[in-house]
Amino acid sequence: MNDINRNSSAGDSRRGFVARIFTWLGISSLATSLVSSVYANFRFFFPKVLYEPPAQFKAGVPDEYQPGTVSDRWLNDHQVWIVRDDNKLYALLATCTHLGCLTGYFPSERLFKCPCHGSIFTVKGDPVAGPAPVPLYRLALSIGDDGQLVVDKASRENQPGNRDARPYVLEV
Amino acid sequence: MASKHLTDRITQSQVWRSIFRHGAPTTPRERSLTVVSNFFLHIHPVSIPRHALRYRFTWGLGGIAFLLFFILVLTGILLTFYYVPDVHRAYSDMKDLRFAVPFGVFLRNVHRWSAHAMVLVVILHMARVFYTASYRKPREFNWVLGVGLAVITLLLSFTGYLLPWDQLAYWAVTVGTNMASSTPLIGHAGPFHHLLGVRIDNDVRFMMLGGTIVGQNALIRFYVLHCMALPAIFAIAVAVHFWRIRKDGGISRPARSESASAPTTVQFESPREEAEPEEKTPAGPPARYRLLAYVRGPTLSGKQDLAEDEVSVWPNLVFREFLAGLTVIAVIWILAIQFNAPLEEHANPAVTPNPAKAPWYFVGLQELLAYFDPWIAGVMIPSIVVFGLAAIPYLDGNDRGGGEYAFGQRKFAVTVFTLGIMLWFSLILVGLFLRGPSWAWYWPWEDWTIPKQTVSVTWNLPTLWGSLGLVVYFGLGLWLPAILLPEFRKKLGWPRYVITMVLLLLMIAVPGKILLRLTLNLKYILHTPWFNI
Repeated sequence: MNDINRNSSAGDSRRGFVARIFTWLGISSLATSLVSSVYANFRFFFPKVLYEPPAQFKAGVPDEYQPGTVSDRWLNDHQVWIVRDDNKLYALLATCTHLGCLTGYFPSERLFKCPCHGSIFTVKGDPVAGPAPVPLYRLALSIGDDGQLVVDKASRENQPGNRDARPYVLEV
Repeated sequence: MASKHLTDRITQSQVWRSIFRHGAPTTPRERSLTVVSNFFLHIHPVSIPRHALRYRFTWGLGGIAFLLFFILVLTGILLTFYYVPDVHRAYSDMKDLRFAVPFGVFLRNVHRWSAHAMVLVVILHMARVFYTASYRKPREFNWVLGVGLAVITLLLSFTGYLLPWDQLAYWAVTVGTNMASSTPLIGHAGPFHHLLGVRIDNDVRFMMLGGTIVGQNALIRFYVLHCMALPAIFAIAVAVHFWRIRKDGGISRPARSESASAPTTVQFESPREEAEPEEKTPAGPPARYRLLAYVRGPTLSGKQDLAEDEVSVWPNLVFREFLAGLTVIAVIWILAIQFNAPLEEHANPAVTPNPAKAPWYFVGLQELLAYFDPWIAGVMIPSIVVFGLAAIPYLDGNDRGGGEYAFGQRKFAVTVFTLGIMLWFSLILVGLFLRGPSWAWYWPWEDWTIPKQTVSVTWNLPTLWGSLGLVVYFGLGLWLPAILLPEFRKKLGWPRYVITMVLLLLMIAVPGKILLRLTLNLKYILHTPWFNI
């Protein structure tokens, strides 16, 4: 024991060594408990289970949509426009890409307009006026076993190029 | 007289004296004791400078704001007896409060109009404190607390109007939380969110809503925030706010009279001396004084006489507060009887009202959102405004014109602040009166039922010109004043000068960009794949 004392540097007694160990042990356990309780409280606010409506829905057979029209058939239930060109079909999420209000369709101008901040989109979904930073989203489309359209709101795309290919556009 | 005798018997009884430890407040001593020994009055000093009593110095705004908060707490507690935060019930509970609950409609109206009044009064109070430069040393941090209280007031309003679960509630919260989702890095629609792997189901909006849609989880979260968390934080912050007014020497007054009352200390003994009290005061009783605090102005109690320019708080200030309180309550009561708080249709995720307008205090922000990307208008600008307001006491290098309305001695500060307030309120006026369906520009004489057919297509500046323009604007804006007004620069010192000028340049840039949009249809000054300005 004396040997240890003699070998240690000046003012570095065994008691000091133990005290320092306990000080650091104390500080680190305090910090650990602080960090973990902050994390726990933070994590607490992110639920693991959600009771939200499913992202997929069936939208009838493609022939039910007339060429050159914008259908509001699924607007109330799913906030989705079904747009049909001559032989192309795509589903537009009606939610404005600016701040999430629901766009309205004005057939005489063939434009979508947002009531909250005045964003205006073409039928393709491109913003032409107002503050919306990006185009409206197109949703993934597929044909189910029963021949009905299946719209998947979880899979969306708004970049020209990507959005003009499957599964975001369906040839009919 | 028998009644006199009876009164004396009551007021001198053991029960009475155990409750009220002082006599009738007729002498200076009893008046002091009335204030000091009463829990509710002890936030006041026993006497104040005559100057502080003038209605037209404070307008009583801070006290009125607190009274409104108090009314909101009382009416809010009563409303919770009937309101259930359930998406299937909330709206019908509001209808019940309106039509079925005895005096429910009155209670709700009082709650709503007090909330609107509180926002207005808090803004006016902030303006009053600014225009009298009452945030100067040593009151800087109390101003910062005040800015925090103003923010909490707005958050209380915002969380409050989700609760009726009507269309205004639903879409306001949809927009408000989507603003959060455009926060850089931590919002799933914000710039650079990929860097942290932020998605729609783990971003800051998800945390606020407790999900990816505005639904039951969001309602209960906003309910708890509105009824418990935010009022509790507000109450604590307001207590500190009041406490510091006293510790900082009462409300501000012109420097010439403030310097007259130098800081005094409460009598104390140092701990070392306390260790041997017998030795220090062998004959007398043990010392009972200790250092509590250094306070500005006269000591708390034990005052027998008032200084020349002082008046006792009881009855002078207490009476005025009582009068102001009665007036405010009367106004709110009349409003509540005359006007019903709005209640729109049941929340409907399938229909956004056109136009969907926020309440007046947020409609300026809504108008701002029409000109800038959400991460700027919804996140950066509000944050910078709050930071800039909180920084005012630390940026103001002027030491003249404090404690009074002396605009001539603070031309720069008063001009900038007034321009900022005017900018904010002009945005509010445009949003309220000049915006129609699809947020299009409608003059007051134009018919809302006729849709605006012309679409003014927006365009962006080329990236090179845009970045060059921004560099030139901020570069020249920082460099030129330093060259042209060296006195101004030297007085502030570099750090304060740079922060002041950046804030000022940002404030000028906001209406600048708005005008570019309104006149030239310019969408972005700087357009990049990651973010737009």
